[in-house]
Amino acid sequence: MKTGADFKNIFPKADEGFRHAIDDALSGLPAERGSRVFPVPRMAIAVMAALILLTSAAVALTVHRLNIQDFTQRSPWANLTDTAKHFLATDFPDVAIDNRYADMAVTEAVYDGMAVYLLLEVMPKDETAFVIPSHLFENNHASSYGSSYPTDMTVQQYANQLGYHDIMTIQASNAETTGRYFDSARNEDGSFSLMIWALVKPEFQNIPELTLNMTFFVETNGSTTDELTAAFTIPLAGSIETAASRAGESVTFEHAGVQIKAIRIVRTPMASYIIADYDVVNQTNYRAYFPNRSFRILDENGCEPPKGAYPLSLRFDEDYYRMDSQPFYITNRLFDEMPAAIMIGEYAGNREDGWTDGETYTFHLE
Amino acid sequence: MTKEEFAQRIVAMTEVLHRVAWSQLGQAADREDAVQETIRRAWEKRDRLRDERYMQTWVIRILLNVCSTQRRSNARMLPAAYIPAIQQADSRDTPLLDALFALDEKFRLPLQLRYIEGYSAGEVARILGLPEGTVKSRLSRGRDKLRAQLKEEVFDE
Repeated sequence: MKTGADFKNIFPKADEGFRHAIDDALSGLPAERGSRVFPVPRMAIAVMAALILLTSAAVALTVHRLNIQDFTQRSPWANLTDTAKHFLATDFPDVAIDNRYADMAVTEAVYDGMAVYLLLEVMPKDETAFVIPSHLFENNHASSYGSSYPTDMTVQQYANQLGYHDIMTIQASNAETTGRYFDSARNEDGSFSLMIWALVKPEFQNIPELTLNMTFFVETNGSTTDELTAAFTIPLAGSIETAASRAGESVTFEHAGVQIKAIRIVRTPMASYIIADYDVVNQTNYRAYFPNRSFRILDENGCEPPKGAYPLSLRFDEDYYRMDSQPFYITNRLFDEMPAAIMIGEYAGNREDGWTDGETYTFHLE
Repeated sequence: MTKEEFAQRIVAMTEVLHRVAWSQLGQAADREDAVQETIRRAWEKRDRLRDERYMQTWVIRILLNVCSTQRRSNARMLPAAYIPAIQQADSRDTPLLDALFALDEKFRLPLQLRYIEGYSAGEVARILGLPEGTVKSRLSRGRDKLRAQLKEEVFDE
């Protein structure tokens, strides 16, 4: 007889990297309430569904939809600058994506030279299709939308109750970007907003305009229904300011087995990006040091990021993060102005000793 | 719930979160990303948790959703070289794990949650968002499949 304990024992224990990830996430939680969910009032959905089913006519209602700014404010990269808000407000011609499943359009887009921000609006043509965020599945509890939703039925059952039969989700991909982040919301009128944030690959950085060749994957009831393509061009928003560490300035952190050869900071209207060019110079130390330890970026006085900025840490993982030979990127709203110097500090932590600082090094920028 | 209480409860769940993430994602980096995203979402959406006694099942449900999204994203967005086969990275060569992971996920997950993590069938239903009857049926069929593979009895009821 094999018991649950037999199986439990052969699962590996949580390694230091996993524990570190938990500690890192917990230490980065904002103190204030961060919930900005967009629950759709149950009655509003019921009324909408009834109207659609009874009249089969277009119903013109003023519907609040989240825009890029809304999505960005609830993401880990909060604190948009006023300049960024200006670019978000800039008119972007809707790019319709023809297909037989939904009225789809890219309604907002910003390219700041380092990353793109896209907003996709989706309204199913089939009035029986219920669009859900890509992180939900039809067998999840309907209460995943919010505490006001029923806990005794699944999303599929809830959709059925409202008169919908099919579950539709949308995913997106393209060749020009990497490191994508998604957020999404279901709107009061049954439409769906998908926010996509993605770093552009080096060959597409800081060019006057970026042409994206997007592929959207439409899924219905868990199966990929179609792949839709759309190509469109986004102009560069504003100007880019770059500073780099002085030539010849480099540091080797012996404990970590890493030599940081250069630091580059790119400030755009949307964000600050920090790029570390590094080599692993001691594989033994490197393997021993990471991933339960990392580096953090401090200002030139050794102070942590101001309140509201996303905590920074440098993680080097040559197998996973160093895609396409890119150095590692981090973005946040740390710097209101280009700093004259930044400090990189070893940041070691484990559950026994807590978090401790190690060696630091100050890179002077020019 | 204060931040400190939330953190204490998450830390207490470390091993179960790791086992669930490990069963879903083959790369350590993916598991770390997934647990961080899970914690972020759980903290942001903690007002959705109506009864704090169910925090653990609720957090596991978030983690499973995050893992699912990550697996789909990996399959679509990473170059082929970065697509991990589940458990390829650190699979243990044990007959028990091999037999468990040979099962279809719709059987494996209920078995893992019920017998390895110790949740009741009702709690498993809550985590997976499935009717309890469906969970009981999958547990029964999953046990049969596992028993057939291992050629011995499994999971004392």
